[in-house]
Amino acid sequence: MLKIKNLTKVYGTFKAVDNLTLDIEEGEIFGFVGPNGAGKTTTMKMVSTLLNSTEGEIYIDGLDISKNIKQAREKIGYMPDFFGVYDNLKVDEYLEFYGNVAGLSREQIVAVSDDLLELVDLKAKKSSYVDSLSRGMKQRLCLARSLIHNPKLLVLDEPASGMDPRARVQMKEILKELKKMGKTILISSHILPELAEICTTIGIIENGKIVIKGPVEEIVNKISSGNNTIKIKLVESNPNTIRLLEEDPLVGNIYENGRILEIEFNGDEEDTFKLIKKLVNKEIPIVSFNHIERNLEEIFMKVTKGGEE
Amino acid sequence: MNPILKKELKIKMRSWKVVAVMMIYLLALGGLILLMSSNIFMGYGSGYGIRPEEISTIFIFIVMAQLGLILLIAPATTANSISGERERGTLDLLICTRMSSLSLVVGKLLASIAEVVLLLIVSIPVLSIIFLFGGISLSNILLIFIFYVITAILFGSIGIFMSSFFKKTTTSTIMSYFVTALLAGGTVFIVLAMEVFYFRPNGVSGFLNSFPKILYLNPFVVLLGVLDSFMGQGMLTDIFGLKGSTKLIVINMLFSIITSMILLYLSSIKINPMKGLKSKNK
Ligand SMILES: Nc1ncnc2c1ncn2[C@@H]1O[C@H](COP(=O)(O)OP(=O)(O)OP(=O)(O)O)[C@@H](O)[C@H]1O
Ligand SMILES: [Mg+2]
Repeated sequence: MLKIKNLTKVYGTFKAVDNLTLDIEEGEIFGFVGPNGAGKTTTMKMVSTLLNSTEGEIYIDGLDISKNIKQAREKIGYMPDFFGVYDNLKVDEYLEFYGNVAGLSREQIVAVSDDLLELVDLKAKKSSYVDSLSRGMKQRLCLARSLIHNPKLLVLDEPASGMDPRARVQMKEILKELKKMGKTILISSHILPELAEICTTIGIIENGKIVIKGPVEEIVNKISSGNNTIKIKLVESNPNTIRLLEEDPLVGNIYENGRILEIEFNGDEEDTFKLIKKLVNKEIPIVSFNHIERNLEEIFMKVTKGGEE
Repeated sequence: MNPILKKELKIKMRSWKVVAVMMIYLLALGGLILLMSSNIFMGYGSGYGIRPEEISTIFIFIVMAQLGLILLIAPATTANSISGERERGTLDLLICTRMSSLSLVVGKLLASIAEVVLLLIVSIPVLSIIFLFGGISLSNILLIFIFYVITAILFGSIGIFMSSFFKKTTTSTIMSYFVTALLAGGTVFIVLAMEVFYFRPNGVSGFLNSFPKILYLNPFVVLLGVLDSFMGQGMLTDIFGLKGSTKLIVINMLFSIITSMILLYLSSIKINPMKGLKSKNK
């Protein structure tokens, strides 16, 4: 559905997007995660025909967008990270306007706009002025707008940014609905856990490059395995324990804090079991043994820690 | 109907701005007429009577003043057309659609023209008195109105062009008025400066051998020229030592239309991020 090949965008001497290659299948929900300035918006703008690439190609539904701009634009529904609305325009007129812009007839617009307002839960606001809506409502309306011409591909740049938790849940529900409708979605966020819930695939981007990508579970497992922390509490501080642990090749750094030890451990669950068995066999006086699973937030921080430069 | 035009009209009709502009416009026009007439009627009181050439003077003055108002309004309604959408954060939403950027630009221009035409229409009652005494035919008046509209198209296109090339509305507004002043004032200034340069002691008249081409671009000059020829006056002769004719205004309108088309085309290319500048095909 969406094929990005060796995409590069250079601003002056700065590479905002660096030789990025991506392939999104029809019906896939691709979560684009990365810290500020990673190049998410730049990539999405190039996909949405709003920015010329320096290098590389983009295909939507098999169409090279640089050669078939108009057809490509008909297939894309784009929701920018920042956008505005017009004063003196009502919600239904807003949709009508963008419907007109998309070349729809009046009947077509009438036929879809009620459904769209229903989908984004703004039916009650139909006759309100758009600039009087709350931020979350405007975002939902903008999403409805991006759907008006029934595009196959949705490009959503942080659709839930600035929303309160409740509104985020609502946005998630809408996205799930869109997934059911068979849309292909490219969605960006800073927040990995949020995306993990709705996406089928995740790509983490940093400094314009995809650091890692794959199906959600795979990504989560891949990053979290081999990066565990084990926390052990002993009856009393015991130097033998540390020596014993250091012998194990899977153990990394050990942090000692009184009778509590924090151990970096690069093994899977089987390895963890073996480690416990060894410690117990050597009669190390363990009070508690905790396998700390990193959450997605931490994984994200870890994978993208190079961003602060 | 162009969707941009439709939306602009809808929004404009709801805003108080249009009404305010209309009121100010009518007040300015009415004020000018009153001012001019009071001078003449004061003359009447002193026993000279109203002379036809005085009515003609008012007529010419008002026709020129109306042009001046259009030159003020046309750039104002378009200098924010594209940059305003950009600043508001709605431009991208229009570009990533199947609508061509030429439609966008043309829609913006039409909305501006509609506003000018509206002003012209509401000014008709005020002007009709003057036109009644002006002593020129209906078809001549029609020509003047067509000239107004075409001038609005040119200066509207200049505003749109600046609005697409400059990111900020402020810059775009300044540049639009700069070009407007250049065409409406600068051209005359250049010619008058030439006059000083080639000053002849035997008077101003006839210092130029032929009509300077640059004055074809000046809307005031060509309008004055055509009024001269309609009314058998010689105001252009007084200023430049040149004879006015309908040819001036026709050439000027052709220039306006061609220039507007070029400006709109360039604007549409500038707006579309995927066109122009760079085309790499492998
Ligand atoms: N017009 C521009 N000129 C120069 N540099 C730019 C321009 N637009 C973006 N950049 C740079 O490109 C990099 C990528 O920006 P981009 O907006 O794509 O990041 P992002 O991943 O969307 O970040 P965020 O999470 O903050 O939205 C940034 O370092 C930014 O400074
Ligand atoms: Mg961004």
